[in-house]
Amino acid sequence: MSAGAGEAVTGQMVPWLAQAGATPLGVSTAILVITYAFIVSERVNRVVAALLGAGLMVGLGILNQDAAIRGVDFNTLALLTGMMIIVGVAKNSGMFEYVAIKAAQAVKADPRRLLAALALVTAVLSAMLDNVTTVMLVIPVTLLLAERLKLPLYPFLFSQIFASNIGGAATLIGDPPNIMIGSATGLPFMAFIENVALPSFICFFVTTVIFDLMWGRRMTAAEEDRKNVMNFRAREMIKDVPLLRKSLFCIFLALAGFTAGHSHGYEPGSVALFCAALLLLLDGLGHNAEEQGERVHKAFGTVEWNTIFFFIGLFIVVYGVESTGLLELFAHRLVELTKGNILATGMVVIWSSAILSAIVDNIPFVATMIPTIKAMGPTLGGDAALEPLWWCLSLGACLGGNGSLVGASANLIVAGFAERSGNRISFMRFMKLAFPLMLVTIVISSAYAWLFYF
Amino acid sequence: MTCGNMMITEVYTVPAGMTVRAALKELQRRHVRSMPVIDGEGEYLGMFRFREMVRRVLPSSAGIPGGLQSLSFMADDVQALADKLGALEKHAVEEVMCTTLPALSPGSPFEEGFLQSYLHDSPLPVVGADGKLLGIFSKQRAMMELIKRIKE
Repeated sequence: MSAGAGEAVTGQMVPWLAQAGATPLGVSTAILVITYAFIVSERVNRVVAALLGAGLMVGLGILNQDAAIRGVDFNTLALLTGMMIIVGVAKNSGMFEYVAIKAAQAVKADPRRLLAALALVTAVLSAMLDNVTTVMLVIPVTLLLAERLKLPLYPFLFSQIFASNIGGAATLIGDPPNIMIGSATGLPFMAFIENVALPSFICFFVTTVIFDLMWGRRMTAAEEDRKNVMNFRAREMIKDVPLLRKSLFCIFLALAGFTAGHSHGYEPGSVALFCAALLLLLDGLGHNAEEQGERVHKAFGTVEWNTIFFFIGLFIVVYGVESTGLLELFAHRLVELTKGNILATGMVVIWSSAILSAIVDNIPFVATMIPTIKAMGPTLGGDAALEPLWWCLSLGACLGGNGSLVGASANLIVAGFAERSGNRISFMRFMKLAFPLMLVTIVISSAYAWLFYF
Repeated sequence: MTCGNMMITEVYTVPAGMTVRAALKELQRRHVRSMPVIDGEGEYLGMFRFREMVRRVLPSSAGIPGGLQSLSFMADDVQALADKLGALEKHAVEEVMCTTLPALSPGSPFEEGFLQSYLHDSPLPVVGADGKLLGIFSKQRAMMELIKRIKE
């Protein structure tokens, strides 16, 4: 997804617009602003808004169809789809619920340690899988444990929202912004581990201590209720042992592929899709053609196609404004503002990403920032000099998602579960604590960036 | 044949303000699994069903969309469920009734009543234009009607 201004990727702008004096830059900017306004206002479904924006980029002649397709980052789409399929099949084994129950039993169902243990499980799973899937699997167990131990649910939900976004920030595959950054820049899996895993861990540790001081140390549970949880037969959660083995094999193969594949020219998208196909093959072994077909159909049904198409629409909209030179212009202005100082630019990136990601979806923001940062390359000293900015963007966008209930999809999933179980989380109550805490994690990340990236 | 022709008109109802405890006893006494809830004017408000009560008594994570699909791992704790039911008993039925079931009109075709009662797996209220409860469409009763009409 890279095109310099003036590259021959644009279509022929429709005559009536040209006759009215409109320029491709102006038209593409208007499409971007209108599309994002609809996404932010939530008056139109975000997928529909992104696809209509993409349609207008082609329809009004800013891009021709070939150019629009070139603007789509298929590596990101393949990685997202592949991981969704793997998780969609693997979850049928019951392994994730098993891990959550075992974690509760490992801390002897002690409420204080349980708060931290469930956050840790959420963070680790979010680092390896997508956040939405993680909370969908862990939150039902959390609801059950809190109910059985007669504990307030809110601290658990709150800490797990934070853990999912912080854990997701730690790896290339943990959160969509990182997937997009990794794909657009070619930064390998291990580079993310080396640069964003440690600040993520520090943020996790600090927030866990804060949650303990606020809630954990005051929580108590009756001995009888704890005994009841200790009597849970976690093994019963594993519904399909052969599937568990196959799933674990494919998940570790994917992780190995992400880690070692880059040096052999294998992109994460190819690795994820290959492992997904392998898991589908293993899952279908021993079944007849009709049953295999049903299993594959079911697995593909777990893919969040709306997210995939949201990405497609956004990639095209952003490619439209990129090809008309808007983002290059924006990048120059940003560099002028920071007087070409890369540290100052990094701080602008991390803080603006965090605050905007708390208010609006971080995916459109990151999609726009990627070509913008790329366009700063020549002024700031080449692509290699940009690396610290990518880490700032990653930390800002991923951790910023903690700032409000709408900051990340996983937050909304948790809120949905809470509401359905009769424990509604109010938007303002969440934000009053979440936004300042998110700022704490950004202060930590900024300090880390200043010390280690620049 | 319409739902109005097919409905059961002698219907046991419960008033909106009745307690859950009393309404559960009514279900037991009448040997039915659900009863329409009406207000003082006879207007239909919802359906009080065993099904909703089961959902509310189960762990909250199990009775919701996307929740736990199996509780086979749990230790036996019937008392916890009984305690939850005990906490619900004092509530009024209007707080726990099902309000999402479609209401049939007396002029709806028989097929529509049959389909909706199948889709919702529940007897359905037949309600007049003024909102008053006229009767109940039951798929068992509808099936009996079909059996009667089988040609030898």
